[in-house]
Amino acid sequence: MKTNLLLTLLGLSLLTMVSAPALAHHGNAAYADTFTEFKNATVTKFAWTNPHSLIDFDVTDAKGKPMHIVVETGPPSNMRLIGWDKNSLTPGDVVTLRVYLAKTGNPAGRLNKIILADGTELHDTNLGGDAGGQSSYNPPSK
Amino acid sequence: MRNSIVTSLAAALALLVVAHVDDHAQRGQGVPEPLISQGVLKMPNPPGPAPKRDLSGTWVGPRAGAPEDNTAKADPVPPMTPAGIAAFKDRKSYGAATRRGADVPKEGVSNDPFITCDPLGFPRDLLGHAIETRGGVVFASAPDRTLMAYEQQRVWREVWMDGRALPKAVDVKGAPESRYYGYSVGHWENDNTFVIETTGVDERAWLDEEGHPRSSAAHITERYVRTDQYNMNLTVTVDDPKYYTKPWTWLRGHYYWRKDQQVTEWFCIPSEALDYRDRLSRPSGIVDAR
Repeated sequence: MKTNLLLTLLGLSLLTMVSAPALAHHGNAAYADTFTEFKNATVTKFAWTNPHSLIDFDVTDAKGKPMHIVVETGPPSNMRLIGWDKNSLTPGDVVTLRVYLAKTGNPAGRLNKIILADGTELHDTNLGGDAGGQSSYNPPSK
Repeated sequence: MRNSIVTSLAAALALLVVAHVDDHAQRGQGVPEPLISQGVLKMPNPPGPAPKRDLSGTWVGPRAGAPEDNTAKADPVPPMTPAGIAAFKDRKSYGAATRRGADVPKEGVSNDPFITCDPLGFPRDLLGHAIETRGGVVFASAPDRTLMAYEQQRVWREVWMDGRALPKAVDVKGAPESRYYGYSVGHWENDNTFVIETTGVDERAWLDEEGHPRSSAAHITERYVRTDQYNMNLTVTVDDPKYYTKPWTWLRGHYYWRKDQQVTEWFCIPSEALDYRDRLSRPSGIVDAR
């Protein structure tokens, strides 16, 4: 069943698989090495929480079947430093998400980045593609 | 000519902006922490001298490794005693649970107590996630004590400076109970070096992110050396003969002065942590079902 779900996800016409590094401070053996892109996804919940924030979204596959997926991001303390805040996402926002899906086949994953309707891009802290490395500590100015 | 006027005006405007930010910072009016890409707020260069016998204020850190020596690292964890090995064998760290590689013996699940927001305890709280993202600690004083308030979980420690002795034992008849943050006493070794000694910790808390144990009899020494107005180094040593074959330097870290002097909230909230565990960690195979 879980395998079927994963295969369904991978088979969606709206998806594209792109090779990208999947590195994080916790490691990510649980997640795929490549991200999956979901277009025209609707945010249903944005939990600005520790230890990781969660984004819930609905998306429809090529056959019109609705799906619900939850993805994790870094914690608020990290995300603030790369431009996120508690109001970055609102339920109802239509967005594009790049997600490293769980290898278990469950509808869960780790965010790579999210593209808002106005084109603004928000990256994750650890798997954030273009933002890679920018969430690390900066030494004090001397 | 026109270019030079424009340049001059721009420079003057920039100075005004900087002066405005500095003014607010000095009055503690909440200059927001800049984004990573914008760097850390500038401090006077060079910093002034360290005030004598005074750590009071808000600091960011500790970050492992002093800024002048980023290669400074803690010593490796020494070999454990049989009792230590027994206490460690069932610990499954979050990192090990999710780390890739055949050499990770406990891959697959984690039983890190912090997954459900159990107290980090001392000294693991020094390694809190918020520390790496400009979180920190407030040093303050009260009669006969130094107080240390940590951003992560908003926990605080009480370091007695009235000459009292540390408990010789805990959790035995006539002795006090063990505590997650132990019992601490402190003294000034010189005008810039503050030394804290701690014992009597609750063994349920992990020593570090890997899940190493520390016994309630462990003797943990923190040495804070304020090197100037805005910088402070920390060395932490652990002496725990019950679980380890020798003492070692567990942390070499650095703090810097937080310009806005404010701390944010960083809570692990059980209801949110359980939501994360049940809706994401378990479906993704990161944590077990305890």
